[in-house]
Amino acid sequence: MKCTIITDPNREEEVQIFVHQKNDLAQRIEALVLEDSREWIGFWEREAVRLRTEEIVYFIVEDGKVWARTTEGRFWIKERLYTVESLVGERFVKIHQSCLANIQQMKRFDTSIAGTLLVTFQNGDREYVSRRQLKTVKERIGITK
Amino acid sequence: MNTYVKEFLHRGMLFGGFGPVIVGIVYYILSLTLTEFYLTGGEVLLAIVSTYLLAFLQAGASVFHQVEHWSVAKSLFFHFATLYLSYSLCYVVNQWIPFAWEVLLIFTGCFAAGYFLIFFIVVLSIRSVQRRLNRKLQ
Repeated sequence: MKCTIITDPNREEEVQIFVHQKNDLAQRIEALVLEDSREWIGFWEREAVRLRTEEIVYFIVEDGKVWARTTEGRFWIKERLYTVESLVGERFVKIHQSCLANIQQMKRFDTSIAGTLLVTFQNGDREYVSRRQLKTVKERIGITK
Repeated sequence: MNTYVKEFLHRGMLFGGFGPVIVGIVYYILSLTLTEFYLTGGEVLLAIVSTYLLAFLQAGASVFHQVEHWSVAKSLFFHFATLYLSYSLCYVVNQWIPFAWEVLLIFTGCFAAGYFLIFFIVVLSIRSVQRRLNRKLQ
């Protein structure tokens, strides 16, 4: 299958796939595009803001609410974390019971002296990776063993 | 209530029950292997209560490593102290070790050696995972 990317700042962004019949690759690309263009409504004080999935650093549960953390700040969203997890796809990985992290926004991993793995995000925030989720995190990032 | 205190109690309550289960298994094995092994009701009750508290404190103390505003030394100290005190008190009150300073000294040495050995193995293995994850991220 040929692949062409046309950079044109004047046109609306769009992905078109030409296939003889719908196949696994086309469906995966479609799912990826849909995940990427999904928007969330985030609330902060009395304001409602549209958030694109790609700009969200992580989703976290705090004070019984689900918060979407972006470089601009944090916004609470109405969805439950398990709903968010089912909608964001493989771009995000659960790093502990209350946090769903954007893999593209991960900057580096550190080890605390206590033997806990910590992830630092592009915006400087840090969250720990629970032992329970470590296997999934390794798999998603591409470490098989 | 402070989040960490809540987490301490939560973890303690989740895992506290494992203490009496383990002591029950140990007593069962002893009863099979020793010809004369018997316990009074008071001894059994003391073992159940003390091992419950031991497991409760051990599970809860894992929270100390997650208190972000504590220094590493502080969290390590409190974790070690909680475990050491709970284990030594549990062993002494159940008379699993005699209350004699020579024995306590040996127990302390063995406990500290075991604690720090396990601690360094865990840290080394996590560091290895951390390096591999960072390589992948780059």
